[in-house]
This record gives sequence, structure tokens and C-alpha cells, in this order.
Amino acid sequence: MERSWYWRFLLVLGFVGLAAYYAAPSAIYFMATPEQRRSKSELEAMIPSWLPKHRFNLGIDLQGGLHLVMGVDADKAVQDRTDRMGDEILEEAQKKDIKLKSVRRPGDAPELEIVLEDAAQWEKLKSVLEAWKGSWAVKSHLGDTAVFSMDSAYETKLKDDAVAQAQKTLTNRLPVVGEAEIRRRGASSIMIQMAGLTAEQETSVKQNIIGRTAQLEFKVVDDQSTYFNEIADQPDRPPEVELKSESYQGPGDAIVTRPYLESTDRAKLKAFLDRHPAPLGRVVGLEEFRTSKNDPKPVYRTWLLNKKADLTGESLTDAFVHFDTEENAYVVIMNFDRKGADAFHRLTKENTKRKMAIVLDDLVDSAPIIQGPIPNGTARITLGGFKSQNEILDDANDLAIVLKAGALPAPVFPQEERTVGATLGDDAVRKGKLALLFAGLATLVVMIAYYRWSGVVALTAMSVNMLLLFAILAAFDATLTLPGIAGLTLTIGMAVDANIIQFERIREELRMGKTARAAVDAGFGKAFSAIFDANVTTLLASIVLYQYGSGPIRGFATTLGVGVLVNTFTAVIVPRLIFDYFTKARRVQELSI
Amino acid sequence: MFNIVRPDSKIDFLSKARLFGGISIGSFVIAVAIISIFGLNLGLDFSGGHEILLEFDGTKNVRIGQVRERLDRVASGDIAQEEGGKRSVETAVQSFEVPTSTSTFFLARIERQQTFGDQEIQAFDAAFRAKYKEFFKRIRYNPDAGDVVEVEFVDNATTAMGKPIDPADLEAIVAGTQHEVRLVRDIGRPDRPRFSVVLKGIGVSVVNAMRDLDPSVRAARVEFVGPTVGRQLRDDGLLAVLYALMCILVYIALRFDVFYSPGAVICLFHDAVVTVALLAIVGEEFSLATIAGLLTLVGYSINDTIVVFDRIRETAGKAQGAALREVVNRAVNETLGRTIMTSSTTLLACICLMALGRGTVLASFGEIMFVGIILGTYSSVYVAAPIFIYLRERFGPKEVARVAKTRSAQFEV
Repeated sequence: MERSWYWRFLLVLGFVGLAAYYAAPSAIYFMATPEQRRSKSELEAMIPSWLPKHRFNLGIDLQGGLHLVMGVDADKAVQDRTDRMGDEILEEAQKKDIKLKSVRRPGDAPELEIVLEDAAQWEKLKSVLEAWKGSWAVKSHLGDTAVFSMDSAYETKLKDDAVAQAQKTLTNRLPVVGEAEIRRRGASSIMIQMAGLTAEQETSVKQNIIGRTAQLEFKVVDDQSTYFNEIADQPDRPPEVELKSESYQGPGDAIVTRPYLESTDRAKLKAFLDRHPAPLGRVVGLEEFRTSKNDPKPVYRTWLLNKKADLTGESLTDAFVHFDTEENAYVVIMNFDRKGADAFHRLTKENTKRKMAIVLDDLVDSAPIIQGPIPNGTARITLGGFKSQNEILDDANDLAIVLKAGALPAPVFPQEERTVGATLGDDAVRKGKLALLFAGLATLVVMIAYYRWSGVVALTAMSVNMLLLFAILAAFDATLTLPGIAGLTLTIGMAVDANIIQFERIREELRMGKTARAAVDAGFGKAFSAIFDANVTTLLASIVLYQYGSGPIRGFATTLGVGVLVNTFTAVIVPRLIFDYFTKARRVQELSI
Repeated sequence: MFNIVRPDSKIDFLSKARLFGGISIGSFVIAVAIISIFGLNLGLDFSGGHEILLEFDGTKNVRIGQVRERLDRVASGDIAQEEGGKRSVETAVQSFEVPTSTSTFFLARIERQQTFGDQEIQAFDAAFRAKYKEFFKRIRYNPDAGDVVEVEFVDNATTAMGKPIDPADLEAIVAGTQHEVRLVRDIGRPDRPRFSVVLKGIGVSVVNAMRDLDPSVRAARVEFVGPTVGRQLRDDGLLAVLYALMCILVYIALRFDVFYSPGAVICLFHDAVVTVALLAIVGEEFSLATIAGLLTLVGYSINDTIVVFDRIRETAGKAQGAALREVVNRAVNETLGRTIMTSSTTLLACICLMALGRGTVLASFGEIMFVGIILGTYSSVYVAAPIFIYLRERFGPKEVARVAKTRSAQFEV
């Protein structure tokens, strides 16, 4: 026996072992009953903890659930911005004693028509308008009328932000039941998929996200109350809810210690808080805290806030990230309109060195410390924490998006909505399993009847193929949909075909009077080019389909592409290994083919 | 060793090339004609609209006619006001089988492009204007948004009117037209009042309309696809397939040579178009799952063609004329055993999908593949190979190679 055989054998064995390890959680998932599949805790109990956490999921079409595609009316956000721009121009003009007859948006385009009472004041107005250079420009000017229009790059950015904000808002609003997947799809759509919802949960999801816009509020944090300490002593406190505290320099440079409750279980924390109402005029806000962006398990922290919002997002005109060259740090700048600026000034003066919570849709996003009174309507938030510059930039962008979501909310509307009842999904899975099982059995019978022991070799190769394929899909947390199963069947078909091509070639060589060993060598050699070309063509096609296709076509392309890759490996290596063992080690003269 | 095909089989496939070539061209033309005349039965994925799977618990005998009548009433409710019912709404009802359940199912479909017609929007506009006079600014309606209408008031309308706007009034105006309002939301600023009126959606209206038939009715599945999404899905799909074909064309030209690729790609077109025409004839609905089936078919067909081409490449050399035909014939004969084995195992698998996957997309997938395997095998021999021979004879190298001398005179048929 050649040494290379042992190496190849070890390679295949290694791959199979690794694949079995990765495919195991998915296999357990598939064997589970539909009820077990839907319960997260039961599933966790079934899958041993030493197995990988990755496994694949069934798509909405297979396990039932809600598939929503929400469109974002980004044009609306741009128009709103334009309207606010009009307000700002009016304000500025008034300050500079420029008399304006009117400022209006004539159509849906982001353009403002400014009419002066006195055409001679144009130069003065022009210098005012210069302040928005970069994002706005004077498009035309004739006599007393000027057209001020939004820069197209700025418009694109606004629209892009609008979609990001809508995604943030939608994420905030989804109740924590089942597993939700939220992804951006195309330029202005957001896809939401939630599996295993009851009818009531589904209604509440839709209620929560359709036809609503984001609510941004600024609320001062109550750091004096002992409310959290008191309720933490109550006997009904669940063990998951812990009392903690944080310290920072508060008013008069005194150290303030603020107590709060923390828990990883949002539902239990919420229920506990509901049993113990907050003091008069106060409300408890929850913060979803993650140590890093990709942290899958957030903890929930409580904040005691003023019940009435001290300021709302309506007063905010804009928010953006800015690199401060003096401090050498990223900061978030907020601009308030005139009314907002006054309120903000009062708020910051009265609450210097206190924390101010930024609340989006009842969830506390963050709570910066007010460093001093802010009189001019422009506030800056410096971000900190032991983080790298890049992480801080990420945080700053997130915060700016939250602030903008409140300032310029873009309406979202359903574009696509699919609900598959759980029973229908279960039925599809049951039938699919049965159909695939019988399809496999039929192939098995035909292959063994015709190719005898070689048929068994082909099926061994196919099993290794499926195992590797499942392991790779599981490692990538792929979602299996019906089109995905279609891609899988084509893969199996091509795998079996590859073996048939090889066997027919070996038969041909045998008929020409070659020995078993020579026939195997020649047969595999000659069959290779056809198998290789067929697989590469299909791989190319699946890459293109994945790149340009959407939704179901992508699902098909994923399984097909991965399948074909695995195919070129297994269909060539595994049968050869077995044939070589029999012809070379066992010196079999007569092939069962 | 048992052989399906005799190892020395020498069937002269190409002697019938003209006949089958004619049949292929003919069937392609007829297929294109059928598709363009009858059109495709576009499923919800591409046409856009609503699809509701109604479930009755089976205690009462509900007839399809009763369901259809009520569905039509809901669908045309608000459109009846339009002049002469110019904009017709297509509805369809079919019974639906779920073997594991004792309930009765009906699949109701409303191919409605938008929730409100222009006339209706104008009527709303007039109603709002009549109620709120100069304080009403306008209503915004995005047909893509379907179930939401936005009502805008002029700046400082509430202060000017001296009283706040009651959402219930807004609800009353919209609900006056067959629609059920889910909620009215205040989305404005104090100085710039604005509301969004969210409807419950046609799904709820349809289920409610069925209540008098059987109170147990519920929606087992609701699907809604907006008009632009349908168009986008279709365009994306078509574009993806076109690019994939182009890639295949280039790859085959590189690995084989330029005479091979047109045959391979035309053969894919042939298979796909003829299958689509067959689907159009039997009235099979065209959905994204159908696209997945067609893609699989194309994948299968290209696999088959490459196997035959690989054999031709192996022995063709510079052969021309009769020698080239013989090379091709021999290649087809030599791969015949493989072709029959592969197609029969795959056909068997398809039969399993068709028989056991009834009612799911797996069955329609199996049907498409069943047709596709037969077509794919046929077209490798009678579409791809003849085109290759033709191109090569017409434009290929002109020398006659040695193979011609060994040409055997006799062919068995």
C-alpha cells in the first residue's frame, strides 16, 4: 500500500470527524419534534454543551412564522429636513434683519424657494446661506427670488441614514419573543423574520411596527432616590435580578453613587418592576447594555427617570458625528431649534453634573453627564469608555442614528408580508423529510442493483458529501428554505452522477481487457475532466445567482454552491480511496461493478 | 456485470438530427408563441397582491361558491364607487388540502395592486376638507405602503381651530369605505399636526366577511407582496439567470472552445423555454419556487451537456465532416449507459418528490425536474451537439483528420 493512501485516508477521516462534530447540533435540531424546536430552553437542554453553538435554522416557509419587508419612505425624511431648513433660514434671517416674504418648498424635491421683500438684501442673505455650504447650495437667483437646494451627496446620506434609523427603531420595537432576524434588503427596505410566533404575538409585532414613528426623549436621571435599594430587599426579587451601583462626579464635585438593578432576563426584570411601582413623578427606564457590538447576550439595567420628558426629539434639528481635532476624539453634535435651545439651556443649567438619559421608544440608549449649561442650542456629547478609536466611532455613529431617528423619523410601511401558520410549516417539513428519505432510498436501490458493491461505494461517498455539506452550512448558521432544499437535491443528483460517470468509465476500461487496478486508475483519470467541468460551471452559475439574485434564489444558490464545492472533493477522493484499498491492499482482481 | 446499454452500441443518433433539429426549433417557436399568447399564471411573488389561506374547522359545510362570493364582495367593496368598475380586481379561490388536518382550507387570492384607488383618495380628500376646512393641508398616500394613509394639517392648526383634532373623527372618515381601521397614530409635532391612519389590512376584512359562514374561520397563512417588490423580484431573478448563462458561455469557451458554448447555452434556453411553456399550458402557477425548479433544471441540463461534450473533446481532434459526426455519435453512444443511469435515478427521486410532497412546493419542483430531465437529456444530443457540429463545420479548422479513415460504414439503428 502506498503511503499517500494513508495520508488521503487520514485526511478524509479528519474531515468526516470534524464535519460530524459540526453537523451534530443541526441533526439533533432536525430530529426534534416541532414543539421542541420552537422552545429555546428545551433545545438547549437537548444539545450537549460541548457541541458547537452553530447550527442551521429552518426558514419561515418550513417552520412557520412571520416574514415582513418594511419599506422606508426616505424621501419623506429628506422633505422633512428641507422643511426644517426653511424654519432655520427664517430664524437666521430674523436675527440678521433680513426681511423675507416667504420660504417654501414648492414641490417634492428637496428645494426651497426664498422670496425677499427687498431684492437689495440678496448679498446679506447670501452670506447667511453660506453657513450651510457643503450640504446646501444656491441653485439659482433672480431678483428677489432664490432657489436653495440640497446637495445630492447630502441627500443620499440623509436617505441612507433614514433607513439605518428605521432599522434601529424597528429593532427596538420588536418584542423579545422567538428569534428575530432583521436585515437591510436593497436600498430602502428592511427585512424582518420571526419564527414561531403565536397569533397574538404576531398581532402585537405588527401593531408595534406599522405606521409608527420613533419617539425620542431626553429625561434627567434621578440619582438620589433609594427606590432600587428598597425594592431589591423585597422577598419576591427573582435571583436573576441583582442590585448594583455606579459612581461618578456629581453636582459640586461630590461623588454620586447611583443604584440600579441588572438582569439578563428582561421579562423577569420587567415583571418584578411592574409589581413595585416607581415613586410619584418617576418612571423606570431600561437600558439594553452590550459589552461589545457583537455581544449576543445583553444585560438590562434600570434607570430612574423623570416621568415627563424634559425635552423631546421634535426640538432636535440635526445630529451628526464630528471629529474634534483639539480633543483628538469623536464627538456627537446635536442641534436644537430655537424653542428647544431655550428648554435645553434651562435643563442643563438646573441639572449640571447630573446624567441626562437619551430615551428612544422607551428604551434608554445612553445617559451622558451634563458638564455645564449649554446656551446656544448646540450640544456635544463626548464618548468615552475603555475603547479603541474605531469602537468609539461606531458608538458615536450609533448614537447619532438614535438621535436622528427622533429628529427626522422616516415612516416605514409594509412591502411584503407573509405569515405561515406553524401547522402548515410542520406539514411541509414532515413531507419534505419523507420525500427526501424515499428519494434517497430509491437511488440506493437502483445504484446497488446495477453497480453491486460499487453502488455501496457511491452511496458512502454521497453520505460523506451530505455530512460535509451540512457541517459547512451549520458552521455558517445558514437558514434552510424550500429553494435551499431544491439546491440540495441538485447537489445530490450531481454527486451520484459523478460516481456513475466514473463507474461507466471503469467498466469501459475493464471491457478493453485491463486489470482491475489499471481500469480503476484509467477510469478515474478519464472521468475527472467531465466531473470537474460540470462542477465548475455549476459553481460559477451559483456564485452569479447568489450575487445578483434575491431571497429564495440566494437560498438556492447557497446550498448549490457549497454543495458543488464539497462535491468536487468527495466525488473524486472518497470512491478512489475505497477502490484503491481493494485493488491495491486487498489485491482484488474482480471488481464488483 | 449487467448492462442496460450494450457496450458496443452504435446507434446513429445524428441520422435523425435534421428531423429532431426541426422538432426542437419548432417546439421552441411554439413554446415562445404559447408563452406570449397565453401568458404566465404569475403567482403572488410576481403579480403582487394578497393571498389568504382560510381555515374552517370542518364542523360546518362551507362551499367554495360561498367563499368566492364573499371574497368578491370584499375585493370590490371600495372599487364599486369607481366609474363603471373600470379597474377590475382579480380574485381567485381554490380548495387546498392539508392531509394532516381535519379542517377545510380555501386559498383566497386578491390581486389588488393598491389598497385605495385614485377616486377613493380624492373622496377622502374632499371629506377631510369638508370637515376641517382650511386647516386641512393634504393627505399622503403611497401605493406601495398599502394600508397606511397620512393626514396632514396646516401649521398650528390646533391653536387656530381652538381644539385638538380627535383621532376618532379621522377614523370615522376612512372607515366609512369598507375598510377596518386598526389604529390612528399621532405622528406630528404640536405645531404641525399629522396623523397616520393604519388599516387592518385586507386579510382581516376577508376573514371577517367569512364569519357568517362559520365563526371558526381563521387565517392559516397571509401573504402580501407589494407591487414594486413583485417587479423587483422578477427583474432580479431574470437578471441573475442571464448573468449566470453568460458566465457559462465564457467558461465553456475557455475550457472547450468557442464552437461548444453557443450549443450549450442555446440548449439551456431551449429547455427552460419549453418547460415554461408546458407550465403555461397546464396553468401551473409561476412562483419563486418555480424559479428554483427552473434553475435546477438548467443546472441538470448543463451537467448533461458537459458530459457529452467532454467525450467529444476527448476524441474530436481536428475532425470535420462525416468524421466529426461519427465522433459525436460515438460520444453519445459511449455516454449512453451513464445518461440512462443518471436520468433514471433522478427521475425516480422526482417521482418520490411528486408523490410524497403533494401540496408543498416540493411536488411542483419535482414536476418541473421530471420534465427537465427528459428535455435536458434530449437536448444534449439533439440541440447542443448539432449546433456544435454546424458551427465547427462552418467556421472551424478545415483539415480532415485521420479519424475519417477509421470510420465504420455500418450503423445499427
